[in-house]
Amino acid sequence: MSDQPRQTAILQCSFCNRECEHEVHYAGRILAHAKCSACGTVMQQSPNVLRKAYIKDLEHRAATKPLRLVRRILSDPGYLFTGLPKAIRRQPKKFVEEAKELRDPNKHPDA
Amino acid sequence: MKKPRQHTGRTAVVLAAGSGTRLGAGANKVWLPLGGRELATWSFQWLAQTELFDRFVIVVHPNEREDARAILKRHVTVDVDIVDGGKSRHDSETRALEYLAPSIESGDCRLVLIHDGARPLAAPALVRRIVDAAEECGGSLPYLDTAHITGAQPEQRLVRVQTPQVFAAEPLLDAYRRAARDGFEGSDTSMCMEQYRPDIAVKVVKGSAQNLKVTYPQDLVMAEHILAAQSFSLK
Repeated sequence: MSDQPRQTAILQCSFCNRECEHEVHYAGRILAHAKCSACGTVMQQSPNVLRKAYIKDLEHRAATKPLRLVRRILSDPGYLFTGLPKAIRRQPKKFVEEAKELRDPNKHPDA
Repeated sequence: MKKPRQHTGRTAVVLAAGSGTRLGAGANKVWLPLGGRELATWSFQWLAQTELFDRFVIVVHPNEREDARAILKRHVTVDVDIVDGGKSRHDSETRALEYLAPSIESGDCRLVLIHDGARPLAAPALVRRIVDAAEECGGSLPYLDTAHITGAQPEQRLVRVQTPQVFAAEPLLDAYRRAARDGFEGSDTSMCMEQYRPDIAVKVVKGSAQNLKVTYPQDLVMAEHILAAQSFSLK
């Protein structure tokens, strides 16, 4: 679930105050913006703040990856042969998707 | 099978059935990503870290049972029992307590903590304070004062009640069984206890502003910042 850059969930909109479906976009582990399905209001982080947070988080992800990978393999040894090769193949596309989410949604409404 | 835990007689229940999926309108916010893993899994991280509990239960929407199992297997270091939720928060609590009823009635489970899965930042120190208070009195819950917002005098002030809330297991089960007979629905655990077991003293413990409930999209951003600022490790 958490690998998907776009997710939907019921949240309360701070503009129209309705509890309704929101499309939530992530750049890696960082929430980039969320759009209310009822009124269309987009809650977003400032692009500069988002980029800085993304880079800092990317550094943290890179630094902790070996340990996370070892934990994952210890808890599920089959992952080394089944999940890991697929995950490696997915990486280029994943980083392109993450980069797209760093764009300002007002300038790129399709993002 | 994960790490076996020492017997403590305390069970932690995390409510994650959500209202959104009950309406059939969309995904449950407790499964949204937060800091690289699903929001609800953080609660187990902090609860397990306290080493106060020997049993963990999550209440989920029946449709999310299999997803929940896979997520918990990947991110949670303790064994978690999965219970199907009901139509409301109160109903979900009742189902969790009925699931625990055999161990409560046998005396194996003395104390039950009930926590909202949408509050991912209930730090171990807060959990310890609440459990200590409940061990002393029979019940305990965290609160936040609103006097600084409303400007009210101390005698008129309102407080915001948070979770986790902890109660002696047997009176808690009794209160929910009586509530079921009467068709009573409380908005949180303490309301049902107040209604049916006012004999159980409840000690209020100062909560934490950090223990936010994810309601608005910006709450997710706030939670991300809090986690990142503390290197994803709350004390």
